[in-house]
Amino acid sequence: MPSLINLKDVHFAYPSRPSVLNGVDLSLSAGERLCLTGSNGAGKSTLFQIIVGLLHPTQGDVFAFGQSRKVEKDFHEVRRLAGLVFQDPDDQLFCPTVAEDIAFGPMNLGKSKEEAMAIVDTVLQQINMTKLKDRITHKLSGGEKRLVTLAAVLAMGPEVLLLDEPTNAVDEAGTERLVEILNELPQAMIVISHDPHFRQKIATRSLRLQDGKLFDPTPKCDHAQTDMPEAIAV
Amino acid sequence: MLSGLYIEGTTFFHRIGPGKKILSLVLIGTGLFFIRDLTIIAGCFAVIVSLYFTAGVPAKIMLRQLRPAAILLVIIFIVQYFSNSLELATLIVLRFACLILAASLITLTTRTSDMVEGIERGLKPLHKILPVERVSLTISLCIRFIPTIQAITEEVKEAQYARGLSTNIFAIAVPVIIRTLKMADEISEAIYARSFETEPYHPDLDK
Repeated sequence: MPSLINLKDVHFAYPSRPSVLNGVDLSLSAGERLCLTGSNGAGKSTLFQIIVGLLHPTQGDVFAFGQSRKVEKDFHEVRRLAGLVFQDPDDQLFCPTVAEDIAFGPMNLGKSKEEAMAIVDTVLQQINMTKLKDRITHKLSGGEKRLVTLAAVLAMGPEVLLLDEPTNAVDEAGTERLVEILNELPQAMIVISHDPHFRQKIATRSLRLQDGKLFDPTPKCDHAQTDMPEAIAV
Repeated sequence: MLSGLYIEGTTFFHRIGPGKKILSLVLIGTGLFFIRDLTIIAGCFAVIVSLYFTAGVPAKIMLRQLRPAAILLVIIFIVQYFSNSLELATLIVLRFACLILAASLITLTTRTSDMVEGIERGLKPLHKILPVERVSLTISLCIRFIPTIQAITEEVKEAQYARGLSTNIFAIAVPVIIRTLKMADEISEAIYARSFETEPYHPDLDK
C-alpha cells in the first residue's frame, strides 16, 4: 500500500540548540492510526511542523501524497490534505466565532461564503456539535475548543489528520467522545499523546520518539524490556 | 469583548449593511462637531437614544456603553465649566456622548464577521496597493484576541499576587509581552497550516 506520508532520514535542529531530530524515518498508510509518544521536548510537535512545511529539515526528505516536498510552494497542497490540529486549541481558534473559524480553511481553498457555511453545517453535524455554530470561540470549554479545532481541519477535507495532544484540557467524557469520533473517521492519522488509555483505544500502531529517532516500543520477546529499544526504519 | 457585544435582532438597524452604517457614523461624527447650539445637540442626543429603543437595545446596555468614558466626560465637564460656561460644558459632553452612543449602536447591531466583511469590501478598490485579505484578517484577529490578552494579563497578575508581589507594571508587562509574542508565532503557524497562502510573507518559509 503506498504511503500517504513518508519521512526519510529527517534531521532538524533549532538555531543555536542541539539537534532535536537525528534521522527520523516514518511512513503512514491509508487507514492507519499511528500514535507517537516521547518525553516533553523530544521533537514530536516539530515532526508535525516538518510534515506540513512550517519547518524545513536540515537534512533528509519529506514525501507526502506521492510527491517529494522541498520548498514552500510544494507544501500548499500538503496543508490542504493533512489537517494539523495544534496542541493548544487557543492558537488554532483565531476567528471570533465557531462558524467563522471552521469556514476559514474552506474559504482559503476558494469556496464561496455560502459553500463554506454549508461545509460548516456538515462538519458540525459530523461531530454532533451544531449547537456550537454561533458561539464565541474564546468562551468555549476545553473539550468544546478541541472538537471545534478538529471540525476546522475536517472542513478542509483532509486525507490525513495530525493531532497534537488532542486530550489536553479535555475531561473524561470529552475524551470518550473524542475516541468515538476519531474511530469513526476514515482518515489516516498520526496522534501525539501522553495518555496511554487514549492511545490504546485508538492506535493501530505506536512509535516512540527518543534521542531524535523513532522506535517501536513493542517488546520483541516475552521477557524483553521497552526502555532500551532498537531503532527501526518504519 | 467586541465579539460578545452583538445583540441578536431583525430590526431595521440590524438589516442595514455595515458599509452604510460606518459611512453614516463618519457623517454623523463630522456633523456633530459643526453644531454649536445646545438645543440641537440635545435633540441629536434624544434622537440617538430613541434609535436604541428602535433597535431593541435595552436601556441598561445603552448606559453600559457610556460607563467606560464616564470619568473622562466628568473631567471634560468640570474643566469646561470652570474655564468657559455651563452651556459649553454641557454641549461638549453631550457631543461626545452622542458619538459614543452612535458608534456603540453600530457595534451592538452588527455581527463582527459582517463588519470585517464590510471593511474588506470597502477596501477592495485598493487591492493593488493594499493586501486587503490580510488587513481584514488582522482586524478579525485583533477583535478575537483582545479578551485572550486580557485573560493572560489577569493570569500574570494573579500569579504575581500569589507570590506576594504588589502591582508592578513592569513585572506584569514583561511576561504578558513574552506570552503574547509566543502566542502570535503559534497563531501565524496555525493560519498558514489552514492554507492561508495569498502571496505569503513568511521569510523563514521561503528560504
